[in-house]
Amino acid sequence: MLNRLYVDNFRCLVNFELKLDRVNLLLGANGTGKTTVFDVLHRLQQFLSGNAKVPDVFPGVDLTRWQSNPTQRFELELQANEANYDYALLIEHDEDRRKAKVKSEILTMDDKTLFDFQDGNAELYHDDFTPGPKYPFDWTQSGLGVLQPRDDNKKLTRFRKELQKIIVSGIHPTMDSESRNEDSVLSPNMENFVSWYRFLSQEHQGSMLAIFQELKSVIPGFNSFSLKEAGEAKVLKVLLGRPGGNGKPLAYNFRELSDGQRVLIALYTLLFGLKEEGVSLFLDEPDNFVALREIQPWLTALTDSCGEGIEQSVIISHHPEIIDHLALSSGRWFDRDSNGPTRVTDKPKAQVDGLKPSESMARGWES
Amino acid sequence: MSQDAVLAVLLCEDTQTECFIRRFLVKRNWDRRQIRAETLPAGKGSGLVWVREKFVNELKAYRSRSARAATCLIVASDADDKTVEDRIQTFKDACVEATVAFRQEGERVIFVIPRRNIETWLAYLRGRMVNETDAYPKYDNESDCRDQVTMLDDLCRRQKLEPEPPPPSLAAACSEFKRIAN
Repeated sequence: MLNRLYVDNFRCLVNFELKLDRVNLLLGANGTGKTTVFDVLHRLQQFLSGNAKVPDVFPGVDLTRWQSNPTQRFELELQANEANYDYALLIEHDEDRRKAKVKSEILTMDDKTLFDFQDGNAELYHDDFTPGPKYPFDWTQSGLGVLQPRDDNKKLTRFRKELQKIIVSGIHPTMDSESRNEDSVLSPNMENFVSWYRFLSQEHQGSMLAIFQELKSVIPGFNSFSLKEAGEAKVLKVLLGRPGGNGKPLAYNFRELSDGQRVLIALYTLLFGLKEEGVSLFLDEPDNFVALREIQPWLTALTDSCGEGIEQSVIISHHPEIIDHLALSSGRWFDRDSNGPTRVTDKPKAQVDGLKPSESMARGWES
Repeated sequence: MSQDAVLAVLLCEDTQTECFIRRFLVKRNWDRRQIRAETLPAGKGSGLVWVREKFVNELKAYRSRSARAATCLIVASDADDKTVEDRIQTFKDACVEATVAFRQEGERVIFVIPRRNIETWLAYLRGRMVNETDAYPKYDNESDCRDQVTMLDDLCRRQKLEPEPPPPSLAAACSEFKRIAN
C-alpha cells in the first residue's frame, strides 16, 4: 500500500505531499493536479521498471514553469506486509533543460539502507542490510530498476514488485478487440485491455469464473469471453444471449459493444481479475461512460474488496454519486490558488450544513 | 438496459452501519446490485434528523414501487441513549406530521435500531459481553466489520444469539428482519 507520495518541482506539484489510506477519493476542480499525481506515479513505475531513461520519463518540460530550480524530487513510502519502504529520487536538469540525470536514488526498508546511488556511484546492501558491492553506474537510468533478482536482494526486488502491483489507469473505451501479444501491464488509458486480458486469462485462470459471474449480473445476457485466432492476432469475443434468451449465445467483437459496456467490463475485470494478487487500483474517473444505475454497485464492490484482495484504492472522480459516498470519509481535496502550486487537505475548506458534498462542490461553496 | 432493479433500499445514518447491513444482506444471498444505500455522508450533522427527514419520502416511494415489484425498505438509525421503541416512535411521528400512514401489516419496511449504536453490536459479535449504555470503539476502516458480519450470519443460521444475553436491540432487529425474509 502506498502511504505517501512527495513531489517537488513537477508541473503544479511543488513541495507537494499526499498521504493515502486504504480507500481514497481525489477531488477538486479541473486543473488542480489530481491526474498529475497519477502521472508521476506512472512515470516512477516506468523508471523503476529498468526500461526507461531519465530524459524520456522526466523531460525538462515538466519542471515547474515558474521556478528556476533545476532539481526534481520524488519520494514514495510504500508498505508491504510489515515492511516499510522509503524511496527517494533526485533528478537534476541542466541549464537549458535539455538533459537530465539521476543525482541520487535511495531505497531504505524500515530505515535501513538497501540501495544508495549518489553522483554516479551505487552501493548495494544485502537482505541482512550488510554492505554489498560498490560500483559506478549510469546517471541516466534507475540503478534499482536494472538489478536482477537474486537470493540476497529479495527485499530490494520486492519493493519493485510491490510498486508494479499498483495499477494506474484511466478507463477510455478506445480499447480495440484485437491483440497481438499478452501484456502484463495495463497502459495508462487501457488501450491494451485485450492484451492484458490475454495475460490475465493465462496467469490468473482461477479468477475468470468470478469475472464471468459478476458480469452476468451487470451486462444483460452476458455469457462469457472467448479469444479467437485472427492471423497473428487474437480477437476478444463477447458471448451474449440472443433476444428472448433461447439458443446459442451470439459472439460479438469486444469493439462492437457500447462504450459503457466496454468500460463496465474493464472495471469488473480489474476488480475481480487480480484479487488474489493484492493489487492497488488508482483509477482516473472510472465513472465515465457508466450509467448511474451501475455506479453504486461497482463502488461498494470496490470498497468492500479493499483489504480483501484489493490492497488499496485511489479514485479520481467528479461524479456526485462517488463524491457523496466517499468525499467526507476518504476525500483528498485538491486546490490551487491562481495557477500556483497544488495543495491538498483531507477536509474541504468549508462544510455547508444541509447540502450533500457534491452539491456544495457544484456551487463552489466548499472552497 | 439494466435487467435487475433495486429490491432493497437501505436508509442509514452512518457509513459503518450501512457497511454492516449491506454486507450482512450480501452474506444472506442478496445480490449487491439489488441493494441501494442512501446514507448520510460521514460527519454531516445529526444522523437521526437526516434519516427522519428522508424516511417519509422513502416510505411513499416504497409503496409506489411495491405495487410493481417486491421491494423493501430498511431504516437504520442509532437509538443512542433512547430506547428502540422511542426511535420507532420518532418515525411514527414523522408520518403523522406528513399525514402518511405508518408501516402497515405486511409491509416490508423494517427498522434496524442499534442501541447505543452499531459499535455495541460489533463488540458483542466479537464475543464481548456488552451493555447498551457504554460506548464501544469504532473501527478505523468500515470494512473491518467483515468478521462480525460472518458471525451474525452464523448465529442466524443457528437461530440463536450467543453469548447470552444478546443486546436487546440486536434481538429486536433480528425479529424485524423476518418481515423481509425471502
